[in-house]
Amino acid sequence: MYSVSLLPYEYKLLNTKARKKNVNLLIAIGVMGVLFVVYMVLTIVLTSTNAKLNDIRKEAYAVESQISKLDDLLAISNEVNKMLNDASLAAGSNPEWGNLIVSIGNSVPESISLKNIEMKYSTSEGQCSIKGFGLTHQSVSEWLKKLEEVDGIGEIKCEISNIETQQSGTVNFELDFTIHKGPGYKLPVEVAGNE
Amino acid sequence: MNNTKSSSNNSVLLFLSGLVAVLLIVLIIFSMNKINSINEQIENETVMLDKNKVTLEKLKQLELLRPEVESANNILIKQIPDKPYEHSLIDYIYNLSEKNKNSFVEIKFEERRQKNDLMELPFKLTINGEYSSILGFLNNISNERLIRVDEIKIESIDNANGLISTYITANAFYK
Repeated sequence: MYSVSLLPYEYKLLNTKARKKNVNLLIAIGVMGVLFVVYMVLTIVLTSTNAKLNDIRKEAYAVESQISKLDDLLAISNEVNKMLNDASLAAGSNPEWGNLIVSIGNSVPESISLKNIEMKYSTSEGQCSIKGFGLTHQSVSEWLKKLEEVDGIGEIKCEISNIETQQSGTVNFELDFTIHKGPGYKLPVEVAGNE
Repeated sequence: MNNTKSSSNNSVLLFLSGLVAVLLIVLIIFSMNKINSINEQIENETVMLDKNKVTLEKLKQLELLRPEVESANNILIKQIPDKPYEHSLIDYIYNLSEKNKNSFVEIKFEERRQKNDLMELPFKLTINGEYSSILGFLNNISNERLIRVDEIKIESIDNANGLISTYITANAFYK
């Protein structure tokens, strides 16, 4: 079976063109539909992203307002940290002189008497020289042994140990040693105790 | 005639569809750009928020220590004042000497100098008294003002009464 169109050729051509246009229109509507769906999806994503941003901003605002309430504390804390740093640099690593003198003093036996103590500390090095006299050379040597046990001092060098005069019989001595660095700056006791 | 009219309508519709499609593409690009921009903002805001949360947490912990922080601040302000206040230093040393029962003989101030962020106020001090009183003095010298003792020279002046002279080289500090 064959279908035979009896329409004139011009009509046939017009019909073909019209069908083509219909197909094109359908394709265009399809593409438009797809684009519309994509746009709708993107609009939904945009809305939810915006909502997320707003939530974060609300939270940030709440956190910032809490921080601003504690601003004074932050300022004090920063100031304290700066001053502590300045104080630590200024105080250096000097030894705790009182404790050092007590330790040295406690090591001195009754047979020894001290005439002069000179101590100095600069940057990270300290030096101490002591002059005194003892009853005998042995008492001087005994004290030297005890002095070695004192914390915070280095190697002891005995310069001289000689009998002052034959009449008095006492023994003069001079010794030197290095002083170790101290613990550095500490806040006075009442505050440090609370930290 | 009808076919021609329908064909013309189709052409108009096709043209309008094209326009709408272009418009939709523009809107889609705009939306995508906006989503990207918002995502970037979210990223930045989240980083800031996390930082602020950490700061807030620290501040909350610090709030528990507020009395200690304020006390430390007050003490440090006294220890490192804004000016040299030599008069208050003299008063302080005099009172400290009185408290420790020794005799404050001399204080000699030397040239001030800058050290890091602070000013140094060097001075030499002579104190007479018993051994124990000098120890008390040395242990408390850096309580009210920040004082760094660099040199100490102790000389026996009266062996019988146990009196000693102490020469101290030290530095006080101010801002």
